Amino acid sequence: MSGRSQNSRSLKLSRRTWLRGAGVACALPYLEAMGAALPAAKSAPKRLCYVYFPNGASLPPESNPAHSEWSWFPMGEGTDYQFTKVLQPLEGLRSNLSVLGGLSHPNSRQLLGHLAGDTWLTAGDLRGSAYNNQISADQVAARHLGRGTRYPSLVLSTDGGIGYKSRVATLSFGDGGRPIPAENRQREIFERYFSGGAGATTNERRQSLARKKKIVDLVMEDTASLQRQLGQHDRSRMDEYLTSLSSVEEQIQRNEQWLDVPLPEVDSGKIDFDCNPAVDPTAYLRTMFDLMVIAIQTDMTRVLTYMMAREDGMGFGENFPKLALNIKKGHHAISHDQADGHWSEWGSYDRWLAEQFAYFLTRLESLSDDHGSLLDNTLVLYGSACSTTHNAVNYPLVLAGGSAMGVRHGRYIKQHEETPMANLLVSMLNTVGVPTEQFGDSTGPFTTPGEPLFTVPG
Amino acid sequence: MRLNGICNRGRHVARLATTALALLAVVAVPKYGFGDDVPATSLEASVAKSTRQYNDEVQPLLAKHCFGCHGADLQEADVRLDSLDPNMVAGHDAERWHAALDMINQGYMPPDYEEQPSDEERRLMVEWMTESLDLARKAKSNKPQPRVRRLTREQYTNSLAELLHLPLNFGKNLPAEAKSKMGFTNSGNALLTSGLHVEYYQAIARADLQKAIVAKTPPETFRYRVTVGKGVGAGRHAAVIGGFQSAPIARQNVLVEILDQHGQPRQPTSPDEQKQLRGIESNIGVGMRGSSGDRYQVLDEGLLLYSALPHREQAPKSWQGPSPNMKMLLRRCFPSEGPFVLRVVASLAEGDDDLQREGLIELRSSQPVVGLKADSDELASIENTIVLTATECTKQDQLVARGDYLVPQDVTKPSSAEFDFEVPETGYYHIDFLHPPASADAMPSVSLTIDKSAQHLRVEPTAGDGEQVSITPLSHAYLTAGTHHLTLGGKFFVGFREVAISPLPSDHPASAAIEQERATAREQTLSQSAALRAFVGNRTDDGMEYAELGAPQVVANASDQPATFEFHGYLEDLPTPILDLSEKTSLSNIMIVGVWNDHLAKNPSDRGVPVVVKSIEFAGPYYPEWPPKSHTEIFFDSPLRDSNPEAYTREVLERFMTRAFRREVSDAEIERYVEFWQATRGDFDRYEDGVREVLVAVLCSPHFLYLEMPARQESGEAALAERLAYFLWNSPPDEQLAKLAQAGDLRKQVAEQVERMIADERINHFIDAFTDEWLRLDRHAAMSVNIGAYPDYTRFVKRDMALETSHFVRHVLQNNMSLMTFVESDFAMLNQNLAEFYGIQGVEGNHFRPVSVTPDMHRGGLLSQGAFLTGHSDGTQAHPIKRAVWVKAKILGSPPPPPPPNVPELDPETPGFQNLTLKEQLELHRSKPSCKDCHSKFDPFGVVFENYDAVGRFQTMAKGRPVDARTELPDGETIDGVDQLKTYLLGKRGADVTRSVVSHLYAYATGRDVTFADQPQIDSITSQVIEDDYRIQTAVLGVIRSPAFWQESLTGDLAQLSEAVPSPKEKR
Repeated sequence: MSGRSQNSRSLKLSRRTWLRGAGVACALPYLEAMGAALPAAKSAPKRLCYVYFPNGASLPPESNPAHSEWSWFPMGEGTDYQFTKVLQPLEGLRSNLSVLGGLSHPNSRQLLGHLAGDTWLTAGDLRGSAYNNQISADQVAARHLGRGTRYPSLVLSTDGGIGYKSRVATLSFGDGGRPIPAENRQREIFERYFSGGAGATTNERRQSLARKKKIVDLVMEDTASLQRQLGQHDRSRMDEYLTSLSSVEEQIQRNEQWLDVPLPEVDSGKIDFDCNPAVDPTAYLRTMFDLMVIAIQTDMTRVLTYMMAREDGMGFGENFPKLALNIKKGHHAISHDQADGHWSEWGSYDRWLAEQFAYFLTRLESLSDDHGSLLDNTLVLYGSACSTTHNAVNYPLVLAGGSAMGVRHGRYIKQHEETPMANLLVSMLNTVGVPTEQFGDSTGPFTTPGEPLFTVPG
Repeated sequence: MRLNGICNRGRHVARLATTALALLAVVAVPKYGFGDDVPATSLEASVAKSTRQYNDEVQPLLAKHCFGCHGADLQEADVRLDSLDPNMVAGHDAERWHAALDMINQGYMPPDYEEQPSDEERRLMVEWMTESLDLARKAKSNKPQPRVRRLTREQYTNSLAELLHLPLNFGKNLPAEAKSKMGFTNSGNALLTSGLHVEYYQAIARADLQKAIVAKTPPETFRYRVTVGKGVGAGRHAAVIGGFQSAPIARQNVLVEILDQHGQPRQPTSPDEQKQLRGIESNIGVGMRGSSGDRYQVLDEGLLLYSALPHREQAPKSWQGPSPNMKMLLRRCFPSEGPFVLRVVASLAEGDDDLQREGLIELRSSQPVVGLKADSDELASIENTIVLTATECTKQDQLVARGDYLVPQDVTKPSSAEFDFEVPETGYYHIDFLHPPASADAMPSVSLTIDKSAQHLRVEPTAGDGEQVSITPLSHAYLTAGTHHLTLGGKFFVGFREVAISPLPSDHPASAAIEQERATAREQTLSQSAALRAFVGNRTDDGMEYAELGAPQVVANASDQPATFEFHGYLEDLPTPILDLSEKTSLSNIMIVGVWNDHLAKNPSDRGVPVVVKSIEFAGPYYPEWPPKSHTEIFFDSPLRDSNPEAYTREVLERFMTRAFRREVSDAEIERYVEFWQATRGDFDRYEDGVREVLVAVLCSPHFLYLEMPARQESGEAALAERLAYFLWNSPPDEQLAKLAQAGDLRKQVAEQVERMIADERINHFIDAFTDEWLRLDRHAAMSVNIGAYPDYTRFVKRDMALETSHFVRHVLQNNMSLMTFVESDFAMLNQNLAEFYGIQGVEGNHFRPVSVTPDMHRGGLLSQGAFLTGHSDGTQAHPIKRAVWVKAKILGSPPPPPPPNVPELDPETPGFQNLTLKEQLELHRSKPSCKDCHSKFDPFGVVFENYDAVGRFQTMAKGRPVDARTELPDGETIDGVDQLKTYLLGKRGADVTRSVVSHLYAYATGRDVTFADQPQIDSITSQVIEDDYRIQTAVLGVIRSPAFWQESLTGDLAQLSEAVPSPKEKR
């Protein structure tokens, strides 16, 4: 699919100029849809979203004067805590979030922190040579929450693709820990999910889906017939292709079912789809969050993951501190730095990341559907898989949103360092209605002394 | 998970000779002998024996010497030995045993501060591991390896380009590929296929077959020409496109012509047409944004362009192109895709003393001439300085008084203040202006015009709170005696209080510079050549987004012989604007096609070799023939074409599928697709569209998307052709390879074919992919260099550094040079731009060529190349650890283990840490015992690079102190600097370097990382290469003839295998 296909031009999106009211553009392809408007869902949609940053966080030791200023974790505990400068951008959202300290994945504690990024949402065990990663929590959720939406999940990262084992570029993993490539080209994402077949009539789009399906069928038949000729190892590679084909076939069927249902018209404000993360990271990250907001607004999916940057100085994210804050070092270099003032550099960068996250939460909070603010029905986890560099314990985590689903926010909750982070993942899944008692190496739901964080909404 | 990466194991045979002589005899005459050739039936018996021996003898020794640090409680370097399966045949731990053996053999383990095993104990451990590994190797070599793997993104792009005869970047939207441990994206185990891939394969095939298969009539071509010259546009129409920092060429100096298909100016035949043409003319113009006013000039015969001075890489904005750059601006009237041609008529310029032409001269020195009084912020008066005071201007627009200042009412609108002033004497002047402090957010700028000469400058933002008036030098000027007119202002104007025009003092640095330049210019002869570089892009608010269009073209024709230079490209692969007709502002929807003089200059005083551009013509979509080859190769002429559509379709499909599937296709296969066509053709009005839908299906078939498919295996030679082509070309086999394979002659001619393939242009696909991944050039591409510290590290230097390395590897390969050239060479591959950056004089022109270098230039081999050195810095200074890991992993083939988890902090606050040199910082690191073990093994390989700064330039001082590049290597040898490292590598480690190159080639060629089971083959190729004076083509051929590459496709021919590759035992 070329970025410049007929479709894209008829959308009249111009490079470098603001798209005014993407909501209008969103609605465009569906103006002619004949079907009745999507009836308001009877019950509130439950959504799950995960946002990741790499390389841990600024955590000056308590003995250091920078501690109270540049520690990622707040000062104090419980409801009576104070943000340092780092998470201060989240101050206005205090009643909608909780800061969680002390969690980690037991299997990853002895791993290099950068490697733990592969397991943030999987709790997989990578200690052996076999790289036994497993399905990620978002994909477990997608199986349940995806039933009623156009797409089961939206998997995004700034770098796109899957990276490679031990330094992934995606947060999402399917069955058997098979990484799911993340998407990163913003114009492509917009076109693929929100303007497919722009300008075409329902009938034309139906025809186009039918053509796609015929080809997939032919290729599937072809591929299946090949299997007999292949050795066992090679068969598994063709199996992978077959699985991919059938996932596309499923999606085509899904698209056919949704063909007559117009995409809800939403006002998504201004979005620039030509931000280059190698030039203007703030703009790029905000566009990504904008796209996520549209996906939620239009109920295109209820499960989203976004990896803002890759671990260990890989990819675009390494240069973000240089580009956004004029710091002379890259993110990974900052995380290893020992020069005077390094805590303030790291802290300021963490603060910048928090600002971008705050932008996302604020957008979700300010928009509402029939069931109230989008944030109240979206559970968002923000964080990293190591504390200071290379230490895969005490993950910096913020849980936000989901008040309407019974999440009671407003505290900084410190957990014992033995608590598996998978317990949190289990409780999050339960909160959005996925009935599971176990995920990875979880030992139960997430518990905390005093008032529970997760309650059954009454 | 890893001890030491997995390439290049099994060096124990060679290694033993140097590290543990006493053991050599033992290994050569195995005591137990279960590793000898054994019938399959006794394999189990051998394994049982090995396991028994482990339990009885080896395990207790490991428990005594190893498990303490590599056991249940501690896993130093991420290594745990106690849980490894001693059965290397059935278990999965052979690779880790192999790594452990390596560490023991190299003498690294147990570390010297621990109790050492006795000779007998050591012998028992080593012997058991060696023989068990042999056993595992034998067992593994009988097992088929997985072969099928999908095309990488690059292979997919190249395959489609060849198949469709369209050189487009088809794969650009596919997800980025993963990398194997050895760093290769073509490794079958790393290549993942997902639903997203499948969706894209179909979408790409559909969109691009739509381009390949064309309509009956060609699309309308947009064809325009702009001619520049004094007065050529008088009475005509042209766009004068303004905006922030714009510098349009005046209307009367631009002739815009709309051309017909024959290249003649279109003559309107009706008033309506005339109006229409005038409308287009009014949207085409020439802009010089980003160009300094004294680096170009409108002459009678064209536009004079000095050699371009690269733009400073000031992140994140201000991309205005090098100065000067000439842009043909097309507003709203351009195609959005398809092939196009750019024709530029140009010549060299006549000699001329430009510095005595009236007008502004870009600053040669930014030292102001005027200053402030010591006790106030008033201007200190200087004799003969003409002071123009803001409040006394003769005319002003959009300015308001603020105290003594005039400032814009609205910075986003253009504002101006005008003055007339009298110059008493002809000569050089210097112009300063005094203005209020400005913050970076306001994009402070100033435009200065004296008479007809203009300059646009960014004003450096004031640091801190800055209340005081700032003095900023604006320009020099050559002015004749008499009255002159000065205008100050522009968009984002910073405001001002005074303008001071002073005669340029003779002791001002600019005076000497200008005199020097004039002298040099006079000497410059026309025997030199310049070059034109074309680019295409779109206008942005603060500059332009652009991409270069192919290679530059040399301009050597004299001024009286203008010549036409053609540049070709496809618009969809270039950053052109997406047309938005609902956007009405005059600065949107502007496509840029332009050129600059690519004989790049290093500083404003260097005028280089000027060229004169007379005209630029754009034509697109441009098809020299219709229908294009992409169409006629699919729908070729055939007697059946009109008479029997069914039979013709069968022909079309057979031909397309044979090429797409890279083998002969069976009738049954064709029939499936014919049936598909018959079932779907009714959906399409046009015959070609119906067939196209079938071709979409062909391009989604695994037979196209996957390599090593069984049907090709069956036809043996087709598989070899495919494997060779994707190894050496990263592309499908060409006709010659396909024909040889079909005739069954390819195996016989493999050496000749490899020679041909290496000489072929497509070898660049291999060079690009292999070099990039082997040497991690992606790190260089992603590096954001601190431009404050390295202002001359421009995007052109960066580009040329990447080219230096790929040209170097290609030169070594095509000339069949020694692999040791990678370590040290007496030449470097340079062009003028890069040579000047490195401080090497005498290299002229854009093209890369081998340049002899002397040792004092410090430029031989891969180890001194900018792409490696910059990519392995932190952007501000050298990074010894990154460089060390690179040398170990890529050049020596033994990557150090990953850093351990839970790295202890260095003393949290080491006072003055940042003032230490990196070497000292590292020593601090290594003083921690927990870090020392590992770091002492590889840090030295990086410390020796301290002489190279963050951008790969040789330095003898760093942080104000002399560079100390002395270090002690793990084997105890002390070396000083890279030169001695090279000597050490050539002298003692030649075999390791060879093995590393061979291993990387082997992994790339076979599409899988090297394992312990490949070591005998790797060892054998390595010996052959060493015996043949380390020749690189011997390595390439060795890899091709190795069983993993050769045999896997031609099963059952084991006799030839054993002939070609002597077993390691025989070699011993």
